[in-house]
Amino acid sequence: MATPALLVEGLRVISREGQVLVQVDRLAVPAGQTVALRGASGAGKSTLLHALSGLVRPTAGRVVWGGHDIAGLTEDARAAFRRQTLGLIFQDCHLFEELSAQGNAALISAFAPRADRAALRDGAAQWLAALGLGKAGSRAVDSFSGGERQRIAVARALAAGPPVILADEPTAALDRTNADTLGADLVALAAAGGRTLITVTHDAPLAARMARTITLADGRIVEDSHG
Amino acid sequence: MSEANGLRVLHAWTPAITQGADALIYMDVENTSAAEAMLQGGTAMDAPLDLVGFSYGTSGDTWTVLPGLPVPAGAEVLLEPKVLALRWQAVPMDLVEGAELEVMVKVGAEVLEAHVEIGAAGATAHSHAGHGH
Amino acid sequence: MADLWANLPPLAQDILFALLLFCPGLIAGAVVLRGLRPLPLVGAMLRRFAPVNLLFVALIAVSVGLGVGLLAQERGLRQGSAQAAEKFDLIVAAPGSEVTVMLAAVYLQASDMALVTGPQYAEIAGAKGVALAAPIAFGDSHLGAPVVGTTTDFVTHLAGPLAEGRLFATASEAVAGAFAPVTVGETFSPAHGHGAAAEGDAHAGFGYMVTGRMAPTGSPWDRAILVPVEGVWQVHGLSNGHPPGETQIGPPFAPDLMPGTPAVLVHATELWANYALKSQFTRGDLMAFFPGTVLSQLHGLMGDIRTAMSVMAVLTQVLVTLSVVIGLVILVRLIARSLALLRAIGAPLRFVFAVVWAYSAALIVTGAGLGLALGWVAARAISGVITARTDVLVRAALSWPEVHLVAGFVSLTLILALLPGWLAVRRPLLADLRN
Repeated sequence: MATPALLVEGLRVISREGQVLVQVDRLAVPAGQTVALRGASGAGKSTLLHALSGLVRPTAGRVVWGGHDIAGLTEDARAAFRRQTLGLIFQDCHLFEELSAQGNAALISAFAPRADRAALRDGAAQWLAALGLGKAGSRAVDSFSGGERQRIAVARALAAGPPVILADEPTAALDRTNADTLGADLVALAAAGGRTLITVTHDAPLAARMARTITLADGRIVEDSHG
Repeated sequence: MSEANGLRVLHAWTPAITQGADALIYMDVENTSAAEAMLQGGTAMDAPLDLVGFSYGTSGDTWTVLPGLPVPAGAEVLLEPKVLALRWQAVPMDLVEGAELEVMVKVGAEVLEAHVEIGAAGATAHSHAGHGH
Repeated sequence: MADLWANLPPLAQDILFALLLFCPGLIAGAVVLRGLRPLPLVGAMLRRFAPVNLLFVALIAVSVGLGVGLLAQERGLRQGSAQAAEKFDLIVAAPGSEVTVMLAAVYLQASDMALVTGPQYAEIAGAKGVALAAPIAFGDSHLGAPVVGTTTDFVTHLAGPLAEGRLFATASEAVAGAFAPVTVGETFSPAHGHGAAAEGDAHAGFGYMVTGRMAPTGSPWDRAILVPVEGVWQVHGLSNGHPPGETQIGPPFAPDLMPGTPAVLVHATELWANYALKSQFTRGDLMAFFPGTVLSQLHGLMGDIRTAMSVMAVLTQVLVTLSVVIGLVILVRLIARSLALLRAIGAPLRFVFAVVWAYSAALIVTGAGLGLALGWVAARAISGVITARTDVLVRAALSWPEVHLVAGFVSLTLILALLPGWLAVRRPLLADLRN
């Protein structure tokens, strides 16, 4: 799938209590760009990322990926969009503890159409191997270290070959060495596949690897710097 | 005729049932004649009434068709629940409590007409039970 | 349609009814799972929360087991008591309570009763259609086992050929029931009466020698000791029913010399003759009845209790079903985070729904299966205790009513398990993902 460009217009996410969580009048991310979302806690970084992924339905505005506005889609349609287009990586890797590394990496095959399942399992195995876990695919995930677990989560995000990776504090739970390795891997994977990579992070070294850094405060973009 | 030549049918009754079920008809058969008479069954609306005897075992209640039952001279045979009855299989209508039914009972050479009172569904005794006539 | 159903053999009806009960659950499963493959994930979730799931399965199993065991036990008891009475075609006794006479003559729960006199017995034994008229004279005991006076014909009628030894041939010989507390070749002196009130030395000096042992009958007679009725009369200092000097045992008895017997078992040559004989001996000075009729009436009375029990079993099952569903709703919270992840990475709601339903179904089906087994074990254990206490052989086995109960329970619960599935997909995705 060709990598879609992102265009956000008039985006508002307002909480049930009426608090404005995100207010972005315009944001364009060209296909294949790497972006760090930064800001203090509560600045709206994660909420913006959730709105971009369709996990949160905006109160107003448009989130257009490759010409398709996902803001108005039903929940199942947004899920299908995520399945086909996005690879999501979370701060806490969210693994199924009783499944093997391969079982977790290929989780998406459990609900994919029958015809796609084998390809998804192969994709998961290849990504595990590419991330240095090729020999450990059959081990239960609770036997892995924190860094390894996050790499399994990355393999899961990439198994279906998505053109966009959205990551929420992917290195927050890792030590410096593991964080650096993962950061380098993510940027390399994005560059190699022409993927868009948008990551929320507090981690300055990770942010420094990105082509663009967007800083938020009180839900608004206050700084947008390239290079 | 419910009485002929010293043979008499009394207190005929049956519990109410719905269409298609089997009716078990109970009665007293009296023989005041000088000769034994064989109770053989009867008819109801041209359908046969079989004389049936009750038994109870591991499979529950069973009614078996009997070839006939001698009513000795001067004696009385009681057809009563869980002992003896005339059975009308697959009754083509509902038998409603309070209504009456005409049946013919074959005893010896006689065919006696009997009015069968329809009692409550599941009744285990005639409503006259406990007092004599 | 009704005719078609009525014409099916009972087994086919039972199987079809079970399938019919099971159908809604199966259809729900087929619709929910069509084209999806949630089982590997469900297996992982079941293992993840194994202790909670095991507890849940155990609760379902115990409740299903209780219902199943109750039904099986009640039927076993009913069939066992009916089977114990099967050889007792027609009983003739002095007028009184049919239930008392039945308990005494069939189940050997002795009580004081008026006697059938010698002339009355002779009339019964000589009546047209009588194949066997056996006196049943109880009142004595040995080591808690009833000692019953009767005839050799009755022994054979009751238990068929002996398992060991030979029939009694003199007034001082005895045949032991299959589990009576005496051995062949042993001599014993009977006590007068039963239980704690038995007078151990009342008949001192009179001894019976055991010459044979009956095959098991599955009735209280298995623990009894059968002796010639002449022996019972002699032990009590009465005439032995025969002219002085005669040592014959068994019929015919001399009507004027026969001391009488509490009950007479009558077996007719033909089926119809039983009814004729009942009619003949239902009169002012005698009472004739079929133990089967009395038992059926008693069981009929108990039938109301049985209906109440069945209603209670079903109600309990419904309450358990509701508890199971509420429990499942709570269990869903345990797996909410995993479900949220599935939705986040693009699982359709139908898949998440299927995961929750299959998770619930696994618990329900496992619990119900174990419950069936548990009910079977419990029914067998209780049957053993009842058989040991009463000597009425109670064989409680699982049968179709239990299968129907469980099929209905499983089906209904599988349908109701759609509710936790529905609630699961309505949970807030982000909140669950963050928890």
